[in-house]
Amino acid sequence: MPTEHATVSKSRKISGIWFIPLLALVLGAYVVIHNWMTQGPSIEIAFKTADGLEEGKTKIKYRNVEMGLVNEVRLNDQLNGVIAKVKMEPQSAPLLLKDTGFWVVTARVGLGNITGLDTLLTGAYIELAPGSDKTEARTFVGLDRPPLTPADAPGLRLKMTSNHASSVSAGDTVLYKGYKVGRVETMTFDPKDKLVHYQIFIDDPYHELVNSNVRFWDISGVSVSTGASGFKVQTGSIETILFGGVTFGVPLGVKEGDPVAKNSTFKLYKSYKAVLENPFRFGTYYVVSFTHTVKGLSPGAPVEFRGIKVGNVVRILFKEGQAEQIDAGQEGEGAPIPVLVYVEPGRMELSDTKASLTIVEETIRLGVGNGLRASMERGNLLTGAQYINIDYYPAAEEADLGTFMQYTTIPTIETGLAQLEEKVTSILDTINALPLADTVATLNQNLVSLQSILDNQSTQELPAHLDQTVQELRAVIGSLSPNSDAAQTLDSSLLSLNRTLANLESLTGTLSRQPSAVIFPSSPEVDPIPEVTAQ
Amino acid sequence: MKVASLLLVVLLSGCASQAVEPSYYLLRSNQDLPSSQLNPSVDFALGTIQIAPYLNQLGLVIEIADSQIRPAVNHLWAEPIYDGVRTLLTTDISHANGQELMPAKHSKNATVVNIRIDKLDGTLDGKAKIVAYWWLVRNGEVVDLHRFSKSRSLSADGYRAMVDAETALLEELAENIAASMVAPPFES
Repeated sequence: MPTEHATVSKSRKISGIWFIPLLALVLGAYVVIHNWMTQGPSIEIAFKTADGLEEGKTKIKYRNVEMGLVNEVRLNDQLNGVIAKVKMEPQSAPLLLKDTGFWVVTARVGLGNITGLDTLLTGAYIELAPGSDKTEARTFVGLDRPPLTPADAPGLRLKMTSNHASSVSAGDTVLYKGYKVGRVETMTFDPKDKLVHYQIFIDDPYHELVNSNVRFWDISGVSVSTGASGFKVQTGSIETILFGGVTFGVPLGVKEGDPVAKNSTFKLYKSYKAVLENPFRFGTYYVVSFTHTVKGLSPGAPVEFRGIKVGNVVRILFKEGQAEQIDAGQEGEGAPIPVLVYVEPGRMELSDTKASLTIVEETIRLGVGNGLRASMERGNLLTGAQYINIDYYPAAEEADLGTFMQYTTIPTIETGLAQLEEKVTSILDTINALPLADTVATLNQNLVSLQSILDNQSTQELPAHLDQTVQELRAVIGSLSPNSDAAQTLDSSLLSLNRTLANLESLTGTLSRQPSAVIFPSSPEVDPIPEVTAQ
Repeated sequence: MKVASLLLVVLLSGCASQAVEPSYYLLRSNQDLPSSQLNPSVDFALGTIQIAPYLNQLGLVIEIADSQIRPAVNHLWAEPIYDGVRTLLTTDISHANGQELMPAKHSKNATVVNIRIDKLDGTLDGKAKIVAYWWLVRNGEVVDLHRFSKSRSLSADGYRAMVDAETALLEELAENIAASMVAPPFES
């Protein structure tokens, strides 16, 4: 019987059981990749304090839509601030630009407004304001307070400088003819140039009102002045009376200018009166030097061209002149005294632009070659006040423009005794040429006419009219005395204003102590009642 | 969620309070003033009326203790007290003398009446008080000087009665002032 042998062979088939871990691996990889592909960016925001920030609770919002969640709050490496790590939603990626702003929204009570009341119930959150920069960023510095104007708001952002802080500050209103058209965004003081710098924003479409010739001036508070026509009270809106503000416009007699670029710088004047005193923006400095006395020449003295004021004296650079002389090794040689003057093209009927400045500079440069010289003249014989006169002297010796410090110098000419003699001779010649005999005859006739005028009854009544006018003037002055009705009415009005301010102070005081008083009113105050039965 | 909203509404309504509507009062003469042509006074004119600064309040002033006052928050004058006092005194003095008292600036040679109110308030025990001075000025010299000091019980509890009592005191002051206004003897 044949023996059958079973053939044993090794099976090479992979067991089906391995399909399960393989599937798990694929699914796991899919979940990880999907999660990685769909998760939003992580960002870090630096704040000064963690006030209002809670890990896992504080949300990031943009237009009230949740954009992320704070998942970690820690101190920074210098231990002088905090870093909030935020997991953002994927759709927030285009909003995370270099100048994107973040700030913590909590209930704030200010002099002008109350914001963030809803956070009393919902808790603080971080607000996002997208920037306009094209560069993406993942680390940000949080703002202390909300920006007054969003970065992408339509309008015009400008800069202003002022010598003193006055009463204008960040948050104040910018008005045009009393209508609110913008706001002061920031206020900083630069110790280098010793100027207060403001950043303001004019909303669209009012930014079209701003041109190169507008001036900005402070209209904070109430301005009271008295004059022949009585009391004059000038104010802006109630907001500017209480919190300060700025207005702008083209000064009287100045033409409308050209449109201005964003971030253009303007000077902030103290008042409209200050604007009228210095209505022009562009001017240039020159130095004129004199070897004779400058007594009677003071800062503010006019600089004239043939009797037309074209600028004014800024300062006498005596110290600088001496220093230059010492530097040049010319001590004891009687150096001329340099005088710094400021010339404005606007005063010469030219447009108040940089281009006009170039025209003036070129005119002076060419004029010096044709005898244009500066001289010092006596403006007032009684006070001895002097001014600078610029004119052409064709016979003057040749001279060129020079430099002193960083300024261009205009050559000067001395109007000394020789010129005086020439003028006196000229005057005497003119007098000689006068028809004196005819003049005396005419004068006699005029005297007769004058006598008849003096004899006239209406002329003789003039002193009586004058006396009556003086009496009426006294009555007017009397009506302005402290006991007058006008003064008492003004007193009463000021008391009403005081009472309004006192009420306002009480309100802001209550709100400062208890911000929630707006929605949780405190118990009304009850007046004590006078009672007859208490006698 | 609904329960939480309901709870919030209940809590908020619990915090809400009823606003108190303020009452406004006017100082005016109780004299009957029919329409008629009036005679301006030639001998006398009204000069200044000074009111003690503490009375320049929106609210009626009540004395809650000696030298301690409190302006009411919900009982207010309808106009500055200066205007109310001036109107009332002018009306009553003119009525008492039968001639209209004109402002001093309209009457050059008249004797000028100047008035000062130092006190005009109420007390918690139901009284109204007034202290006032008036003086007559003729040709730049003070020719007569008086003081009027009086208190008056209120007819009922409350600020309405206090205003009535203060009006009555001012009317009495006007009568006294009118009585003191005697025309100077004719100068030959």
